[in-house]
This record gives sequence, structure tokens and C-alpha cells, in this order.
Amino acid sequence: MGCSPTLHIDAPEVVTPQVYQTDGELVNDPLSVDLRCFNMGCAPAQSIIAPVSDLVALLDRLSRLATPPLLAALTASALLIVLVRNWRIALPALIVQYVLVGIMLARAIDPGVALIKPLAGSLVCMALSIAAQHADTRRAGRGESIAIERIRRIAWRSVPAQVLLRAVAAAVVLTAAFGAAVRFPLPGDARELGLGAYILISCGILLIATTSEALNIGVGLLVFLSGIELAYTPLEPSISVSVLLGFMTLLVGVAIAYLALADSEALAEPEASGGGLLRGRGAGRGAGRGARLSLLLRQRQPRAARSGPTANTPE
Amino acid sequence: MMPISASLPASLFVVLIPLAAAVSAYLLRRWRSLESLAALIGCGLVIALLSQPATTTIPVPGLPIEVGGRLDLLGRTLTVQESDRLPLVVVLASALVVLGLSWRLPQGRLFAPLGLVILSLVCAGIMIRPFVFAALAFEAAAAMAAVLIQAERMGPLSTVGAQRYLVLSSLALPAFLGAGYVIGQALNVTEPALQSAAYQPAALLLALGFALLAGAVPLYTWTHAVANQASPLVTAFLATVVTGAVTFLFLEFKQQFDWFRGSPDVREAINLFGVTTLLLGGVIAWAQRSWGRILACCLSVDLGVVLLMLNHETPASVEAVAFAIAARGLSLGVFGAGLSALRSYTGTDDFARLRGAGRRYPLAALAIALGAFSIAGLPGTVGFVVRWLNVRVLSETDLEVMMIMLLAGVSIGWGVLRGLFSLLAEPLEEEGNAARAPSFLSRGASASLLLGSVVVVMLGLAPGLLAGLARAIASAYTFYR
Repeated sequence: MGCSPTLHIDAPEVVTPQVYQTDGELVNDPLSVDLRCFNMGCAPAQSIIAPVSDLVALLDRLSRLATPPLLAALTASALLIVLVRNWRIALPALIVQYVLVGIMLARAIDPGVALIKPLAGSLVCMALSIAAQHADTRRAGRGESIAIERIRRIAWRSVPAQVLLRAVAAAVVLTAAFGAAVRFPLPGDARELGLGAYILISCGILLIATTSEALNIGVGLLVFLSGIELAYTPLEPSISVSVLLGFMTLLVGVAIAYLALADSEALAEPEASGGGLLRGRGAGRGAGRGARLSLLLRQRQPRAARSGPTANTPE
Repeated sequence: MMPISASLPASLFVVLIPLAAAVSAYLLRRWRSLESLAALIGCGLVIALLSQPATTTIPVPGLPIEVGGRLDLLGRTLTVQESDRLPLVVVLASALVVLGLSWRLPQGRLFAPLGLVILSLVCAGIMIRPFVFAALAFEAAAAMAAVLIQAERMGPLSTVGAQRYLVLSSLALPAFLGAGYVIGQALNVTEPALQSAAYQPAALLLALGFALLAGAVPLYTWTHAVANQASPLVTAFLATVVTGAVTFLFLEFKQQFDWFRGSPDVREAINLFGVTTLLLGGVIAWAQRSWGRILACCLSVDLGVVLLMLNHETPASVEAVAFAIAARGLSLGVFGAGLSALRSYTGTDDFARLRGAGRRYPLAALAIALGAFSIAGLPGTVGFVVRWLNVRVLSETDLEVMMIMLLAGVSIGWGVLRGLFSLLAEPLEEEGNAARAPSFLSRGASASLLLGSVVVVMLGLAPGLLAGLARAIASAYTFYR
């Protein structure tokens, strides 16, 4: 057997260490060189590339901020998401969190690559907000409570109990995250990112475990994935990993938006589609009647009984 | 400039053809026959491509295809290795069976397109090196699978299955990423005495990641929620194609990494996961009151047994695993097709509310019975051959677990019998004459159910075709020699 032929589609493997000047000018970096080449050659591309270069430079400068304020802001955003289960507050907080994660990643990897995270995160948040808005419109049509109303007219009687419970759980989880960061520090040079990663992972899991709505679970999952990215990217600072993780964030975001929309619909069984499978008119009529009977029976059952097929426990 | 060789690697087509078929299926979704045809042609083309040995160059005019050629993508490699080739064929053939069964039994507008995207991603997951990227491929597949599970169902609590599937697959991701990093560090350890300790965390992380992806950890995870909520053929697709790919990836790990294969902790962990998953399915199967839950128990039992087989290092165990995945596609596919037909007519799968429905839809009842009994291991069905192979392996090492497996089969059989008694019972008086009148499925749906049932029995009586494939897969691995 001879040498097997090879098709190379792309070459970049590992991002070179940061080689930026202190004033933030991007030099000696393959990515920035490519950007400058684009800038020289093509006017329409220039209009797109120039802001991206500015964003990269901005991210690079922000990454030089002291660690404690960044960690404090990251913790605050995570806490806000855990405590307030309202998408009009949680999604902006999630965008801020993505920017903070991007800034922290820029301390360990090329800012041009770290920029993928806030960009992908912002796109996901946009998709989620559209889905959530759509869901709220449907709920409003049914006369149910929606996010904006819950902000305008806060139910002060029930809020303290809910928030207090979540706050206690969050405090326990944050303590555990801090303990884990001290006892099991993540490997790699950028150790300060370890605490941030633990905070995001633990808050993400807490959110997933304590909510039942698809949108909140999805936000928890995205927070969890940000934590994983914060922990893993410094260990393998390659463009391909960052690109694929960004792509994965987008895919997960799309899936969550779809589930959030489905979750917002009123409880309704899909009309039995037996007609498509059945032969003959009589059979079709029978199918419709059977389905309607089934639906009627289901609607007459109390809510707890209706959720039988979706219950979490085995019979 | 990127160097482009004279021939193209087959791995490129293994990923691209299902994606192209997915686009075609989506565009043709208004015409169900054409949509299914596009999906089947896509799967069939890749199977034909992979039926050639890895050393072959297929002389397509102007575009020779090297089956074992390497595709370098973003610094990672996609290759069809000889040990991957037939497992890929099994995964694709399972997808072909399930997609074929959905031809006249619609599972939602997105079933074929999204199923093909998932197929492409899991194929990439099997072929890609280093394996860390396989985890990313499976995570992307899980995101698509969540949409597939949800399909067009709406309403609160309707998203539990999709959520669980997505969350648990995401939890597996850090385990794989962490294992990738630990392996990279352990490679720097040169002292043989320290090497096993250096690899130990990686082995445990991988075991946990595989168990999460396979739905074994934590107990009672996505399997039951998905089987209850998703379309039955979607459940069959995920249990066969995605879980099958995960299983073959596990075998590939055993083939590649001595430290993974030799780790006693991994063996104990997988054994524990396998026995508990098997026990869970077996203990609760007999008491279920709906076909969706029976399907979930069948899945638990089958996954548990496969995990137990993965713990053995004999040709017979690898054969049993390969045979089980192929047979699962058929058994769960036929079961799911029958259940799908019943659900689409009656809007339910509860035993009590399906009373007498089997008299009106005998073919659906037959498909359900044969598919479920096949998973239980009834003689004369393809599932019996799987259980026979399992017994051959377990009888030499672990008689207690063998008995648990057989009893789990009996438990499933008991549950299926209860459901069948209800299906074939006399309809209640208050349901009127409409419930008594015989009704007929469309010719296409009837043909699908009948053909599937016949194949389940035929391969049970003459399992030579699948046994040959399973033997060829086992012979491509060398770790047990």
C-alpha cells in the first residue's frame, strides 16, 4: 500500500502566542496580517474588516484590565441570570457575560479568535430574544402573564420567597465553585480563568437543574458551555477549536430557540394524521372521530393526569 | 495555496453526500416520496462507497476517489480507516432502514433532512482524529437531534425529552475535552511506571462521557422521556444511528489506546453502568402501561447489554455488539413503525385507550409485537440471535449478569403481552360500532409494516447476512488478539 493521498483544505493549526505592541497595534500576527491585506485590496471588504479590526483591538485592550473586576462582573452576570428568570433581563445579562468571556479569553488566546465568542453569543441571544418575544406574543394572546408585565408589575409577595431560595442555592454553588477553583485549579498558564470557568459551569448546572422552561434551561446550557470554553480554550489555543466551539454555540442556540417556541404553545395534541395513512373514506372518518375522542378524553383529564406521557418517573 | 491531490478522499463524500441529500430532502419535503427517495439515495451512495476496501481507488471519471484517503480540515484529519469502514456501513444501513420505514409513515417534516444532517455529523465523529473533535461533532448532532425530537409538537412539558437529550449530550462534552487534554499531558510522561497513573483520569473521563452519550448515566435519563414524546421512528433513529456511532467510537478507542482498554476502573464503571441500565429496563418493563414506555424499556435493556458486551475483549463480544446495533435498527424500526401507525390514528399509545385497536390495524399490531419481542429475544426473530451471542459471551464470564439479561427479556415480553392483550381485546361497548369496524392502512404503510416484520423474522431464521457483517467488523479490530 502506497502513501495515501491527502487533500488539504486549510492549514492553520495553533495560534501563535500574542505578539502585540503595548499600544494595542496588531502586528506579527497571521490573522491581523491577513486583515490588512484585505484592507488594501478591496474597498467593500474594507468597510467590514475595519470595524472587526477595531473590535479586535478593543478586546485586546480590555483584556489588560485587572482580573478581579472582570471576575466580579462575570459573577454578577451569572447571579443575575440565576436569580431573575425573566428573559428581558437574562438575555442582556447573557450578552454582557459573552463579552466578558471574550475579554477573558483574549488574555489567553489571540483576540481575533476570542472575538468569535461574543459575536456568536450575541447572535444566539438575538435568536433567543426573537423566539422569546414570539412566545410572549402567543402567551399574551391567551391572557397569560408575560415577561414585560412581570417587570412592570412585580409581585412583591411571591418574589422574595423565590429569589431567596435561588439566592441561597446560588450562594452554595458559588462557594463550591470557589472551593473547587482553589482545590482543583485548572491546568494551563491562565489560572485566573479557572475561577471564572468554575463559576459559569456551576451556575449553568444550577439553572438547568432548577427550572423547567425550555428557554431558562437553554440559557443555563449556554452559560455552562461558556464555562467549558473558558476552561478549555486556554489549554488548546487553536483557531479550529474556537471556531468549532463558536459554531456549536450557534447550533445549540438555534435548538434552544426552537424548543422555547414549542414550549410557549398552549397544550394541544396534534390532530391525529391517520387520514394520511388510512385507505378509504370510511376509514378516514373513523380516524378523525377516534382522534377527536382521544383529544376530548385528554382535555377532560386534570392537568396532572394529562402530563402522564411526559412525566419524569416510571410507572 | 493548498495542495490538492489527484484523487479525493472518500471521507469528504461520507460527510458531504448526506448533507447534500438533506438539502434535497428539505427542498422536496412537499413530495414525500421524492423526499424519502433523496434520503435513501444519499445513504445508499455512501454505503456503496464504503463497501470497497480502504486501499481501493474508485475510478470515477475525472474524480477518482481514494477510500482510505485523508482529508485535512482546519488542521484535523478525517479518514476512513479499515476498522471504521464497516461500522460506518452499519450506521448508514440502520439509518437507511429507519428512513425507509418512514416513507409512508410520516414522522414530521424535518425527519429526513435533520436525520441526514445528524447522520453526516456522527459519521464525521467516527472518522475524525483527534477524537476531541468527535465530541464536538456529537454535540452538534445532539443540537439537531433536539429539534428532531421536538418535531412539530407544541405545549408546556412537551420539550422535556429534547431538553434532556441536549443537556446530557452537552454534559458529555467536558468529559471528552478534559480527556483530550489529559492525554496530551500524559504523552509527555516517559517513565512507564508513571504512565498508567497519568492516563487514569483520561480513562475515567472517557468512560463517563461514553456513558452519558449512550444514555446510561444518570439512570433514567433521556431514553424514557424521548421514547414517550418523540415520534417512535425518531427514537429508533437516535437509538440506532447516534448510539450506534457512539458504540463504534468506544470500540475504536479500545483499539487505539492500550491504557483505555487495560484500565480496571473503566471496566468496573462500564460494567456498573451496563448492569444498572439493564436492571432498570428489566425491572420496570413488565409494569408499563403504554407502548412508548415499553419502547423506552426495550432501549434501556438493549443499551445495558451492549455496554456489558463492550467490557469484554473477545471476538464474540465485538460480533455481538456489531450484530446488536444492526438488529436494533430493524427491531426498533419495525416496532416504531407499527407504533407510529397506531399513534397517528388514535393519538395515543396507552394500553387502556388502545383497547381493540389491534383488531382494526392488525399489521400495526403485528409490527409492534414482532419488534418488541425481537428486542426481548424471542426465538425466530433477529433479536434472538443477538441474545444468543450475548449468552455465549456472558456464560463464560458472568452467569449472574446473564440471568439478569434473560429475565429482563422476560420482563419486556410480559409487558408486550399485556399490551397485546389490550390491543386485541374486544372494544368497549360505549365506543360504538366505529371502533369495531375493520380499517385499513394505506398500501404503502401496510407494505412497510409487512416488509419490516418479514425481515425481522427472516433475519432471525437466517442470520447469515448480518452475522457475516458482524464477523467482518470484529475481524477488523485487533485489540482482543
